[in-house]
Amino acid sequence: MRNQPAAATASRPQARAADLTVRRRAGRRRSWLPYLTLLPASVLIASFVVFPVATVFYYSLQQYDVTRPYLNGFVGLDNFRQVLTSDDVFRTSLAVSVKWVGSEVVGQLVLGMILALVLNSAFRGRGLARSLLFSPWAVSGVVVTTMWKLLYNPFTGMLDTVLTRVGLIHAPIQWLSDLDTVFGAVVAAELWRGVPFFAIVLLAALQGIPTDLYEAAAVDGAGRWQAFTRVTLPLLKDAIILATLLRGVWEFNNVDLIYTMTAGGPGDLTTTLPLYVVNQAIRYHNFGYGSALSVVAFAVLLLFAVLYLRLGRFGRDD
Amino acid sequence: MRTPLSKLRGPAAALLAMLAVACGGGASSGGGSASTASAAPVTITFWDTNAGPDRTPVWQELIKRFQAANPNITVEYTGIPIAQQLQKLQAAIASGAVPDVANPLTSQLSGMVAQDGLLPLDKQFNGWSGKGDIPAPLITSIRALVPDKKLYAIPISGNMTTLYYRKDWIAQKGLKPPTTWDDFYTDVNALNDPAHNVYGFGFRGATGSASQLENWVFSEAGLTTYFDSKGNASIGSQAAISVIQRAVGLYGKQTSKDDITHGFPEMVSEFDSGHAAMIMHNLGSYPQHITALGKDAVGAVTLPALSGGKHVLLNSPNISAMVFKGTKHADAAWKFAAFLAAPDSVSYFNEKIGQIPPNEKVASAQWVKDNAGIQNALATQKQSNTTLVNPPWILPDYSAIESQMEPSLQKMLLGQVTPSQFASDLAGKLATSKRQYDQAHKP
Repeated sequence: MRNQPAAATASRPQARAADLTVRRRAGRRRSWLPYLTLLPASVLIASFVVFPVATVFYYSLQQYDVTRPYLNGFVGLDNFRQVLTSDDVFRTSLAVSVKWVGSEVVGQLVLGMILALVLNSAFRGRGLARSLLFSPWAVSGVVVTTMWKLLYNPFTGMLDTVLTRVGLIHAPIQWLSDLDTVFGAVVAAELWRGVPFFAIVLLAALQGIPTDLYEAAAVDGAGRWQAFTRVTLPLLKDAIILATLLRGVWEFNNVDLIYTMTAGGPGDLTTTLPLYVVNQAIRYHNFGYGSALSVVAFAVLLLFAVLYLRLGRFGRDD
Repeated sequence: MRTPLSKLRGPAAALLAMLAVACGGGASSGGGSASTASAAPVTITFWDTNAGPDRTPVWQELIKRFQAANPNITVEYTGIPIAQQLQKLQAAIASGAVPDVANPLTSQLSGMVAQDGLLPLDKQFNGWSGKGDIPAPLITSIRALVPDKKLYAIPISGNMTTLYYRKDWIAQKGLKPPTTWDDFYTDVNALNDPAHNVYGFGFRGATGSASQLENWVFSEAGLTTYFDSKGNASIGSQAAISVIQRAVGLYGKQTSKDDITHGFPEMVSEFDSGHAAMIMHNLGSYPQHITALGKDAVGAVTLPALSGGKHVLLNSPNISAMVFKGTKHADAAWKFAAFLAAPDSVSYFNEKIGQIPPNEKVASAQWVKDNAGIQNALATQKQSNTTLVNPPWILPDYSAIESQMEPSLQKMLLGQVTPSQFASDLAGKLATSKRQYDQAHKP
């Protein structure tokens, strides 16, 4: 027993050392465990996002035409120089993109807000109305195109037939070939498809607003308009900013509906920047120049997203 | 002994050779390449580059017949719509995920060879029993499309740009069929009735429009060479510009304004539904028009003659069987390609789609004699004052240039670009491409 303190004294450093070792091991395990768990996702992201994006940046510095390998090679910034200084279609397609995104996002926001407010109120058949109004969101762009092209058909389309019968027009309107109507016609088709997205997002946000806020506003003498502008809108701010940003990016990159409806025509009137990229890279086989256009489009979107979030003070309380 | 065909030079002789063969050849034979290999079972893939309800069943029937004759080979069919086929093939070659066999047009050959995507078939073709059934000038013309002059494609079907018109309406109005350009414009004006949604002509204003206009311009302007000795494209000449002006002048008056959005399906539908009195397409849509309107209502002629009866026609590319370099079953792939080019298959396929069989043994088949479009094409080809002009399919970016001109053509229809600007832009692109190609392929 006399030896016990000595033994204890001797074993204490050993125990401390053992404890330290265990802790070190655990620490080491802790230090690589997060990386290990992140690895699968990182590999996927690197393979399917980083590598393709890096490839686009690489090809943007090349003349790369798959059918004319005798012209291929490094061209430095020539592609960018051409995009920014002498490509008229780039300028017009960028302008069409801005017009397209503006029309779609504003139109969808306003109509989506109206729909959400209506669907947020109680009325008989609300469930059915919700299902019907949200259904266009589930329809693919190509199907939307087919449907709207049938509606716009100047020979057999319902739109011209109805307008003629009610006496609003005397001759069929060529909706998709007339300079004055083609852009609006395509915007209308995409609005039909896109409005439900805003309605869903805004309806979800509306249902999260406590009713006692409206009761308090009513006690303070607020009418419906004041309740909307002072209670509803401020509380929907983050949802609106996020939805408009996402929709803005999606609409900027929208190709399916425009491509299948007008192929960017007539005469580039509905050619947006992504559609121009598709034409250059896929139809004209000019992958180098198409990549340079993609890099420029990427920069435009990045700038837009950063400015929009900063100016909108996203996530911050006013 | 020199035949009249052998006097003609270059690829332009090829179609004439093929048509002459089709016109006067020997008896149709059952032929075919039925052979049963004893090798282990293999599966090959076949990409149909013009899939759709009309043609897919035809290819599927041919595959069925091939598999019955070659039970150890399974052919997997993949149908690709024509509008996307070129980009799909090019992407497939670039990524190495190629089919074993496909059926593209010979006009696409040079681009795919430039990508090093195709297998040369000289050895297999030279040892093939069906070799003699295919006109030699046609094979020569296909070899001429690529820098190494090897054979990468075996022809299955020939074609010709055709003017379809409403025979019944022309008879009712006491007009002459549009066999000359003057008659064409007279008929277009006389049959135009916009008040009833019926137009004299159905213009192709969207996909494929530049190619159609090019055929029109060469024929009406009588341009007999594609490039002059200095390398300038004749589409930029004053004669071409005048024709473009006249043709574009029809838009919105003798054509529907909606034509600016019309590719192949819309244009054909406009004609078949009785909204256009005439359209330009190739022989391939003949069966469709006959089904929709009946034999008595549809006339089919080659593009009209100049005053004096002279015809100038741009050649049309052939549908061909091509074997891809990435194939792991080269023997089976060749066997299938040869089967498609054999008389029985060529006869069956071309009868169904209404095109010209490039095979001597099919030439005198009854169905060839019964097809008015083919007969008219053959008769025109036989005339001594017909000139065939070959488009520069040798340029790998030729089809891309035509695609690039389509928005510009629409702008021209809308009055935003003049015919002179359009012609000069197109001619400039073609001349630049030719110069770059010649420079890269200097002997």
